[in-house]
Amino acid sequence: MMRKAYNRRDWLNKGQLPPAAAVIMYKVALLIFACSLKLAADSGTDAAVAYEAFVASPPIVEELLFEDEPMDSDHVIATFGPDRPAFYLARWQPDAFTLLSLRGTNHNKGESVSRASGRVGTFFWSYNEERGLNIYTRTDDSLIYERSNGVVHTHLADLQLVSWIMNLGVPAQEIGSIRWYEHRFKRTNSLGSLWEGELLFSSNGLPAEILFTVKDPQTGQTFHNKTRLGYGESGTLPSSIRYYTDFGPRRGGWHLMKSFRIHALRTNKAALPEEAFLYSSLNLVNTNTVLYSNDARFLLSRGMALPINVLAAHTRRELLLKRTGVIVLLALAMAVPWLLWRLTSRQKPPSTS
Amino acid sequence: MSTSSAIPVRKQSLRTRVTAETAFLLTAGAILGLTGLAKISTAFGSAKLLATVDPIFGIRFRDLMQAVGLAELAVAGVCVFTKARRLATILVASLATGFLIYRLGLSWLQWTKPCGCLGNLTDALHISPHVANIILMSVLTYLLFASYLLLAISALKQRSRTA
Repeated sequence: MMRKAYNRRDWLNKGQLPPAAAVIMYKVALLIFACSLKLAADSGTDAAVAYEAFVASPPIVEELLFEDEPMDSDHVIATFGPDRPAFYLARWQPDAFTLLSLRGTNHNKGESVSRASGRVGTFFWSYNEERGLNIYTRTDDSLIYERSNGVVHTHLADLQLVSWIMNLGVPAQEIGSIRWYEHRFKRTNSLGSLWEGELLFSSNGLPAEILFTVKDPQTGQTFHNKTRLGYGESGTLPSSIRYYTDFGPRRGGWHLMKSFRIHALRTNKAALPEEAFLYSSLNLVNTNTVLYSNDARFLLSRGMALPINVLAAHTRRELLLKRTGVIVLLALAMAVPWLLWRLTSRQKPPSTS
Repeated sequence: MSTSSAIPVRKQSLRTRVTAETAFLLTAGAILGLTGLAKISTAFGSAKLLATVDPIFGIRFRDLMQAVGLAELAVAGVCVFTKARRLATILVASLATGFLIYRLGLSWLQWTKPCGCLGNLTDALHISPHVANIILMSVLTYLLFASYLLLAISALKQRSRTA
């Protein structure tokens, strides 16, 4: 007893724990470490599940504020990036969409909107602060004229831009069209290219890269692209998207093509009202409105029906011929006064006899 | 007596023609000087249109406006500062014909944008491109018809003198 008492006192004197307590503490530490590893793995799995679920079946997006960056955070210039940062505010739900091109991140005022487009069902609209509003309602009869419909084309171009973000870094695919199978997808997009993608994860289990192989059925060529995903401090969904294309070892390997940064993403469980996708709520500056009629052959502008002069675009040959014709005619016509002068001045002077 | 009575009539006719010609050349010189200066000042601006290519000549609008502006200033100088009235009238007629054909050519090529002939002057005068276009068409019509009319009168006079 004396010895045990002495030994205990000795440990205490030395500032150490008894061996049994040390073993218990060691086991607790191991348990905590294992739990943290498990939690990290679970959170990684959760992030992967959340990522794939978002891409495959996106929620209703009430606000998506993103930036098209001229260069990434490492100051690498994006080949297809804008000259200066371009800010966009998107809103999406099945069959309804809006995209505003903003001058900055402040999007509360109509003056900050330089360009916009939207769609609710069969109603399309596009806005440009210089030209005003264009409005179009699709009907069964008007579908065949949509190849030359600027409102629809603006909408499709904007939708394609937003699909890049809504698909969280997967480009050229319709929103919500990707189906994952063991972190891979394979599909042919609307342009006929076969896209294959593989999702790669970082050490903490977050989706970090998507490797793409794109096959062009017409040329038979295969291209390799990839998207790198970056995350904020507490985000499970990526906050930065960088898209690269492999140009091969002779041309410098991977080149940054586009760089996006997601500033805000707010989703909603309930469907948004139609008004949320209309221009009327935006307080736009230029309210000059051109209404495309249902058969797209007449413009209703300020209460007047104006026929659209639908003409095929000039071919290069036609344009060259016309330009040459105009220049020759111009030269000849400008010479007419000189010819008149020469003709009149060559008259023989009257005889003095 | 008959000879002496014919002389004043001839002198009167000549004076009227010269006065009309002088008035025309002075107004044409002022117009061309103004539009020429407007074109050159606009050509050194930063408007987006200047960077686009002219559909007829295939050169940038900036270069075209500089060239045409200089030509207008040169013709304006001949109109106002020289006594070569016939040459000045021919130059004005030639330039106005060129403008007419150019505008017709633009229309043929379905160029629908308003002509930027007045450049920044439209902003300075607070007039819309549509109004500016109407003014320019009126000016062009005046220059064209007046110059050809004077040339025709001059030619007829010369022919009557030679007959």
